[in-house]
Amino acid sequence: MLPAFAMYAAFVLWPLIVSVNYSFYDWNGITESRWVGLENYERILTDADQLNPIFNSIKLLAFFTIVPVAAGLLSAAILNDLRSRFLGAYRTSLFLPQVIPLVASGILWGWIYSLNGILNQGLSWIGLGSWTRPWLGDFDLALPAVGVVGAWVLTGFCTLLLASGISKIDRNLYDAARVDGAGRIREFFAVTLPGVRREIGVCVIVTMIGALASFDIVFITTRGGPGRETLVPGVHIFRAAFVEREIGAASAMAVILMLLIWTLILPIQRYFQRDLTK
Amino acid sequence: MQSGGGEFDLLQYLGDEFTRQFPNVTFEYQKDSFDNLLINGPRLLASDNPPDVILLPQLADPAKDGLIHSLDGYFEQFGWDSFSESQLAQNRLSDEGVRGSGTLYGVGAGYSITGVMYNKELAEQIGFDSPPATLDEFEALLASAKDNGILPIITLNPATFAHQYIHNQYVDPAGTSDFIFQAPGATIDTPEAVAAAERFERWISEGYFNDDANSLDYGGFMSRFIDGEGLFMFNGSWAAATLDESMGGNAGFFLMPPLVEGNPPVAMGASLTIVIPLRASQPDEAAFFFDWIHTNQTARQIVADTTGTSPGGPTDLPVPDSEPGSLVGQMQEEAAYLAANGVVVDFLANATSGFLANALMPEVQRMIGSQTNPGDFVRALQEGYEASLDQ
Amino acid sequence: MAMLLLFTLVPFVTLLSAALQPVGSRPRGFEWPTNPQWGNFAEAYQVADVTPLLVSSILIVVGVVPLSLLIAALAGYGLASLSIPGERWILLLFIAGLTIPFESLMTPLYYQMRSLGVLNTRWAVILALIGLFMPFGVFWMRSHFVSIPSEISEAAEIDGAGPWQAFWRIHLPLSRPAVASLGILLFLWTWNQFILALVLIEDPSMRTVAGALGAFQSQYQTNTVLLAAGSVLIMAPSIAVFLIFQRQFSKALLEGAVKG
Repeated sequence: MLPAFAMYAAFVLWPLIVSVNYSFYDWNGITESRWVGLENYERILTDADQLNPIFNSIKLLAFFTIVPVAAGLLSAAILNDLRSRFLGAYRTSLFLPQVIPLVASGILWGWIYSLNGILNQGLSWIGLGSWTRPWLGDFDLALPAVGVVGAWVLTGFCTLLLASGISKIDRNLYDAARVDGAGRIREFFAVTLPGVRREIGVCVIVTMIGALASFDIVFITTRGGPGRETLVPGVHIFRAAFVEREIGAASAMAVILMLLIWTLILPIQRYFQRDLTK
Repeated sequence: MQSGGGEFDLLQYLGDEFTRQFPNVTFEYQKDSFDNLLINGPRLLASDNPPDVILLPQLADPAKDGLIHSLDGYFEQFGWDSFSESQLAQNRLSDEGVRGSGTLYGVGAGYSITGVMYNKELAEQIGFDSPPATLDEFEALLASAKDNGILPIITLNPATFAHQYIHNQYVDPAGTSDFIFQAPGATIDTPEAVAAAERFERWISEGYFNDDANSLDYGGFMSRFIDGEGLFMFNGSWAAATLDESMGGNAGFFLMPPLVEGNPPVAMGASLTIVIPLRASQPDEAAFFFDWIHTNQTARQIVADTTGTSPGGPTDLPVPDSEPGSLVGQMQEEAAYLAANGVVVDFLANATSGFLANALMPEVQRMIGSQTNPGDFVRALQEGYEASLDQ
Repeated sequence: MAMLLLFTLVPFVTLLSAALQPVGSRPRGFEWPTNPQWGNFAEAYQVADVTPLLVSSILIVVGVVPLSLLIAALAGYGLASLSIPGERWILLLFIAGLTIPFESLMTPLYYQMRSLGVLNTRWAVILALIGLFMPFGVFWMRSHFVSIPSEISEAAEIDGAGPWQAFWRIHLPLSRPAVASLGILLFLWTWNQFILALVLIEDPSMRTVAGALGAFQSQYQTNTVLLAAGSVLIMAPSIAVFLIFQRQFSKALLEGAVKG
């Protein structure tokens, strides 16, 4: 217990406090720092360009959270009904994207989305040649394209977790539902969904953080472009800290991001709290 | 910014040759990608036990922070006043923090130039055999290529070169340098800059660039030009060796033509800057190495062969040998011509450490995507510049 | 279902097909090579000098995973089974840790490691990762221990075993699947770690294998085939470990460790 807390305190909590402290200074990481109070925050909160990354990451929630959780639920529910010897292989395959480095996923999808990539090749092949485009360079579609990569990575994770939840549901509940004459769909809503509430909670929270704190995928595929369409807080912070060396501004952004995450997650966590901390 | 991957190899080849000539000096190397160096460079400088020589993409901030050894003493000692001053100027920093003059903080392991590469076969198809003399003539070639079903210009993402190539011909290069070197009151928001952006916008709307100008990476950009998918490519001398190797004489080069015939050519160029950290343990040896790179015939040849860039140094030394008719050879000549008759300006991307990522790249992408207009574009560049200066 | 499977797997097949084209060619989209060049992998391995990176990654994994598992299991057990004053708050503090974006810790961590004198050594990455894994590790192990029916603990108490003995003799052995799956997750996260190593270690050959991919990308960007082959090589260990242990992993997830 104590060693875990000590490591946690030393390498997470303490840096966090230091980060909050940095956010009140103007510091380039090397020479003397200068106290500027809330100036770093003021700059961010009054500049639309600086706030834009936050809105982008919120839009990403649709792909990083809603799609994986919904597809995962559906897929897990069907998995549960099927009895096939390919089931194991299926589950394994779905989990693969979660296993490889995110950097690799980024490179991989960069090729897929390129003008000569497989996506455009496929579209031409099924007669949708007019839909082909350089996806990651398209002002309207770059963000959804990045989102799809996130969905690709996270759907398998949600499927596995939710399948595990479903398999733990008491079989008798299903039998009881059948006796009551429930169909597949009602059974899903009456038994499955409440039964995996806790797993859904974990999925939602994990994927939400994945969206709001996303970095690797965006950094590798678009670097925030075109324009500022896919700029997310993670990339913004990284640049401020390590390219411009504005440690104070980067830290302020990091603190804002963290507060945002907590604000969004708190109600969700509250809903699942009973299960999480019981 | 665009790394051909050869920068590190160059320093290693030079080091090996130096050790061959001076066996009592050996080198230890740390290799990293150019992007990582951009991030780690300043921290490496500030570390307690830095290397004696660091390849440093951006010099102004660390120099201001007192992390880099001044080379002024060595300038006197080795007589670097025989070098082309325009090549050294980019690595000078005044006491007020303005680049272009003042204390010398770094030298180049080669000095690049940029211009227009073209595919000779495609050029023949539209009947163009000599470089255009003006920007209008160049634009006529673009139109003629387009009419013949040839993609006029293939550009990578972000298309910052395309923008600055035009910008350089409209705007007084001294003003551009002031802007990049952070001279007090410097601005990019001028009628000339807007006029340049208007031409850039016209080329975009006429479809003179590839559809994926906002997403093509350097690898795809190079390979598609090599495969003959575009007539022109805006690139620098660092690409010459690769093009020679893969296009076997089918690639040509000219400097971007001026707005008015007879005006001196203006092209971007930069040194591959190497510096000595202030806390380096053997600065004298490092400085001797710097001098040797510029003056030793074998070293100069290595610079030319490895990177295709000009080795700089005393202006009366002969240019390094190259294959007759090769792009690398042509680069050496154009570099010498530019040094004598034209003007070399730095890349706009180097204006401030955040300018490329926060202003230039997104705004150029918005131009390509028709999300803005020339006036707003130039204004946004200036605002982004000022914002990063304030901080 | 089939769509989902296709969506998941097609990218991998594309990558593999690109990696097997003749070196120097420029594959576009999907095209199964007529004459697969399996030798590309050997060439990419050699060109990218993967051996030291493999060794480095293994050293980091060995430093991170066993220790993380042990202290996470201990803490998870403590929070689940023992009555500790303020336990709820401690747990909440750990859970809050799950939501802290890594970016906000990066810079302070750099200076912290420097003052500890471990910057540019693998210890910097190892220490930071253990700390960063604690919230999830403790949370995971605690949820597992909570799911163990209290009768088991009570039975142990009746047998006169103290909490320490109960942990070693009863709970830990019962938790093999949960520990194993956490171990696999931590392995993957460590192995795939990129930014942390980039920030804390200047010498690229001391970083992780995933870290090599970035350098590899900028170095061979005009050589799509070798880049693809290199990417496959770098993914291979993660995928292999997952495939080897996936039965155990799925078992842990699916059976929830203990049958009620």
